[in-house]
Amino acid sequence: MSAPNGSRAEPQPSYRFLEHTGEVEVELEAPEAAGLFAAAAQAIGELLNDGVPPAGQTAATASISLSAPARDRLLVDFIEELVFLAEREGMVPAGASVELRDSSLAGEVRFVDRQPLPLVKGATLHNLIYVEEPDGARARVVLDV
Amino acid sequence: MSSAAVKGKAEIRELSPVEFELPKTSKAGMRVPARLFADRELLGLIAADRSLEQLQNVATLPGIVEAALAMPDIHQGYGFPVGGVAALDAKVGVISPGGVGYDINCGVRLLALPLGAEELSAERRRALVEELARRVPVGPGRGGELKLAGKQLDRVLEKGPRALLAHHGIGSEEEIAHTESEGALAGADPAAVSQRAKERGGPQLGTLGSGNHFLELQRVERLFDQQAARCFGLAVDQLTVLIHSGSRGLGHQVCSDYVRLMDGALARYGISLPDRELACAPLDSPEARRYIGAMAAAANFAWANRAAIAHRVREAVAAVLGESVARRVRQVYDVAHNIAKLERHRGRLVWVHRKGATRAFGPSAPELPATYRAVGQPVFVPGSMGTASYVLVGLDSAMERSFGSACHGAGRRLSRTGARKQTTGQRLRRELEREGIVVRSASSRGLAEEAPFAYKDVDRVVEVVEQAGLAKRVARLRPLGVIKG
Repeated sequence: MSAPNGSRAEPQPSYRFLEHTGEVEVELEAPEAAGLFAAAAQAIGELLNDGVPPAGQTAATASISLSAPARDRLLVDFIEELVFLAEREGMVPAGASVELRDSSLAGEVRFVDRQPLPLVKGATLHNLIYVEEPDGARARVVLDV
Repeated sequence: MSSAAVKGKAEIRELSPVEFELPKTSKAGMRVPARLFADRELLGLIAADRSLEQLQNVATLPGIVEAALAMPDIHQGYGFPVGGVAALDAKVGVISPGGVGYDINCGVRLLALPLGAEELSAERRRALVEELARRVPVGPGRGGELKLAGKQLDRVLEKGPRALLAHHGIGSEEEIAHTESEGALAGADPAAVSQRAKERGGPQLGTLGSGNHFLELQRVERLFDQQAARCFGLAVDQLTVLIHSGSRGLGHQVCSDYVRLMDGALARYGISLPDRELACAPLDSPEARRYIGAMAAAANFAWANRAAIAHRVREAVAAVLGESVARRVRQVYDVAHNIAKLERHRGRLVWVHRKGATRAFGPSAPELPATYRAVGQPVFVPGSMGTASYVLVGLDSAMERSFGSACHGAGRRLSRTGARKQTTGQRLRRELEREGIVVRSASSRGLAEEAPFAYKDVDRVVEVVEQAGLAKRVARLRPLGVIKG
């Protein structure tokens, strides 16, 4: 499949869940670092929506602003923030748009009106991978569920 | 001593038919060996994931004493493996929030009903399960009736179930006496618990949560030790209710807060680790002291949470079977299986980290309630849905062999995706219902992920525990109804 006007399709942020005996491990990929955070929001949305990518109208948005000692920790803290907001608001994240500056971010998270289930207990630092390269960024995070 | 080849691992030594050891030379940085209680068949399953590597990593922690230990239900987790036990010297050791886990004081409470399964028709058993499902909130669970904040919440963090009894009329002194540590760890410091943790946990008291948390109606299928069973008040065919839950969002946040704090402090203390999730701090550091205060507070919250759920169980029993039956529902015991505790073992004070492992003190332990000093501490080993759970009793020999610890469950053998490839929630529900097990689950996917075949054989796991001298079988419980978070 090609994009309209014959232009080459741009790579999109993506995620996939990997095998892990006890917990959930998610791999994120994006053309640039900010896309990893968008992919993380989509992945957490699917996880908290009982394994189905959340569809439907945006019910709420939340501004988000975080800083961390490094980008990898920023990603983990961002996931923790999504989990906290989902639990507090009783909604499921459906996407996010963030701007990165060094190891800080500011942006917005979209939520759909679904009761989050199951819950994520925490985003861990175990086997945390975070790589930014000229041709894209990727990360792996293990979640306690 | 013989040795066995383990896929992808250095040679593992067979110390006995139920005990294996990876020597401290098997991985750089190990300070002590990594020791595993398992038989050869379980070892084969255990070696299929990265849990032994995680156990070797635990053996690198500063101040670890004797060996990093693993129970036969061990499986891959994060930082510590699930089913891991480590004792850290109280003077020169560290404390590691990841060695307790995100669900601080996740644990199990067993209630015994004053009647047998045969005294209830299938319809009334179903009605009881429905009533339990109606009254005990599951999932994200901000729907608990107790929405605590401010001083009310701080009192629970300090005193656990005793605060619920004093200020909300929930529970009883007898229940508190039959709770590990009487439901309150000393040194709990509400001020060390972040505002966010309190915000998450305050509305969740009395809620089950999700994942592998559940509430199960069971019947005692078989007794192995008549004396201990009598002491625990268990008889064949008796109905029991098993509650598996923890400290909810409050504990999760405490763990997150302190893993990050200690991750940032590692360099300052000159600690180098093979896994960042093992982040830790010297026990005499301000970070450790604050974590211990916060962890104790979260543990007390978890005991109060299970007390509040037990209160709901009694209400459900009263609604279906009458007040007089509800009044005679007795708490057998309540045990933690994600916790760190200061204990004396062989004359040495150590912080015993139990991550997916249960304290299993024998009859000589002065910490036990007077009623159990003749036999030892009850240990609960929930199986998976559709399979048996066990009541064990702790043995004095566990003090020598495992810092007074035993297993906490059957232990996963398949990933969640692996389980979903083999069944669906609907199919599993039909299969369990055919076996007479009523299932209520908010998540069809979650049900499939907890399928019985995703877990190790619980009968084999407890046999190993018994052969290793950690705990002894008392009773086997069969599920009649499951409410899954």
